[in-house]
Amino acid sequence: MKDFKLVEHNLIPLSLFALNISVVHLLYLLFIDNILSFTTLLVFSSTIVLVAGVIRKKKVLMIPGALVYTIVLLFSL
Amino acid sequence: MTPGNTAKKDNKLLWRIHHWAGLYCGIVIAVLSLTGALAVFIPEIDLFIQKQYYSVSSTPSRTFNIGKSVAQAEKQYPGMSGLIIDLPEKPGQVAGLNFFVGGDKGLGLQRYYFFVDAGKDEIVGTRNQQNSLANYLRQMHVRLYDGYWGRQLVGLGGIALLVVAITGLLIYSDFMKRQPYPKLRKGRGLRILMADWHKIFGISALAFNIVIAITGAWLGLQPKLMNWFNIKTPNNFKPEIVISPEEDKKTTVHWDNLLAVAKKEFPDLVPNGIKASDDGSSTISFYGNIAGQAYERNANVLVISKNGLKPVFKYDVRTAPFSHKFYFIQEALHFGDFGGLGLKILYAVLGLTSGFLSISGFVVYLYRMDKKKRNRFSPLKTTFIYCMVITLVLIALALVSMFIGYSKAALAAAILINGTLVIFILYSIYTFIRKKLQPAHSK
Repeated sequence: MKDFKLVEHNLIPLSLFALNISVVHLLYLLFIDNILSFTTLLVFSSTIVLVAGVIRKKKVLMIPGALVYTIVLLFSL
Repeated sequence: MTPGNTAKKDNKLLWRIHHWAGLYCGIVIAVLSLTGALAVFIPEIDLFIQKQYYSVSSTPSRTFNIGKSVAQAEKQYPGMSGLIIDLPEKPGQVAGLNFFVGGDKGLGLQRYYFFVDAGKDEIVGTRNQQNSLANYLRQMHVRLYDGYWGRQLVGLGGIALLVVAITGLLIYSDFMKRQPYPKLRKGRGLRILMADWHKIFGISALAFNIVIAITGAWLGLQPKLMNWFNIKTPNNFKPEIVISPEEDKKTTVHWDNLLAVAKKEFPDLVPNGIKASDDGSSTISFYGNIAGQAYERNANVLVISKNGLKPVFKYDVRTAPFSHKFYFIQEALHFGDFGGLGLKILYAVLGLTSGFLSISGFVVYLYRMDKKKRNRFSPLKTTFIYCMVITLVLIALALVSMFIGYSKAALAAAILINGTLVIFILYSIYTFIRKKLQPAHSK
């Protein structure tokens, strides 16, 4: 039950929150022709990991996905 | 009181805030959601109308030619003022001449807009910019078509959206309990189904709605906030007056040379508009964007003197302090015009979620009320009628604006919005007093 609460009530909202921003960020990077940059690669990877995490409901995907994306976002500012 | 009881009481308070903020501001949020989803595509819609309705386009050319057209307009309207030249964003698109004519001391000014073939340097059409669909969409989203306090109402709508989004997040776990995301509880009636969709959409687009709410609240309340806190527009520049306004109006410039100087002084600037001074400062201002930058449209500025074509002022957002960048990122984040058509489509889809949340929340509320007191119409029918009335009002205002005139539509919108507000406030006071005066036993 504790695990269910952690995933359903905390990690999924957190992942969806990060996903909203990462998808917008990814589309922006693709638009400015930054397809092959390291940032795009990281944003793309963390977006995929977050999507997989939400679908599979895996902590091991959602936590690193959100963490990596947050770091990438902070460095992009 | 045990910690469990305190948490329950807190959640109840949060739910009440979510409920009342959503109920009272839901209609504004829904209208802004719909108009916002359309407003994202204003440039594309306007371009489509230019091509299909006005049949105007520019002949392919290596240079941007506008000199003869400006001279022709000046000859036709000797009293013209406030000339702004809209530059085409892509090859084949027309340029635009936007200016005012007549009016003493600012009264009775008539606005004119001409399409210019920037290849052949020919005026190819005209339109009333204020009555255009693009202006309707913008004005409806930015100020609900009410010039007096519409913009402030929109700003308050943004605050309400922020409140419902944050309280929604805080009560999410309490409402989900053992229900996994994104499972729908089928076969338990429309109220439960709507409540489930409300939670799924709400949590899925939460970050987007928070960003839209914060930026929308800022943009709506911007004039008041800037006034109260003495905030200045970062790229504002007031050039020195060097000649008389009459002389300034008569000063002619060679547009080709001017564009070449602008290119040399600010190579990365993609100008969208050029403004010729008529106040005696004898300057030409370029407003535009820098490719790949996510800032407000036309935030970058280059001012060149008409005499000698020397740069007088240059504002490049890239080199501006963080506070300036923060100021200019608000509008871009709100309208999503920094990531091409793909991002605009995503913005429109996510933008519609706040409208859906208002409607689904209203349906759930009506079902709850229906349990207490049976109404003549079913909750779904009532919601449908409300939605249809609002949609028809929006369409009617758009038609009045486009085919009769902006001022008539603005007057109708002002009466409608302010009238509804007054009736609503009076009704609320009446029901409040009636409840207070009711004997305790009949409650």
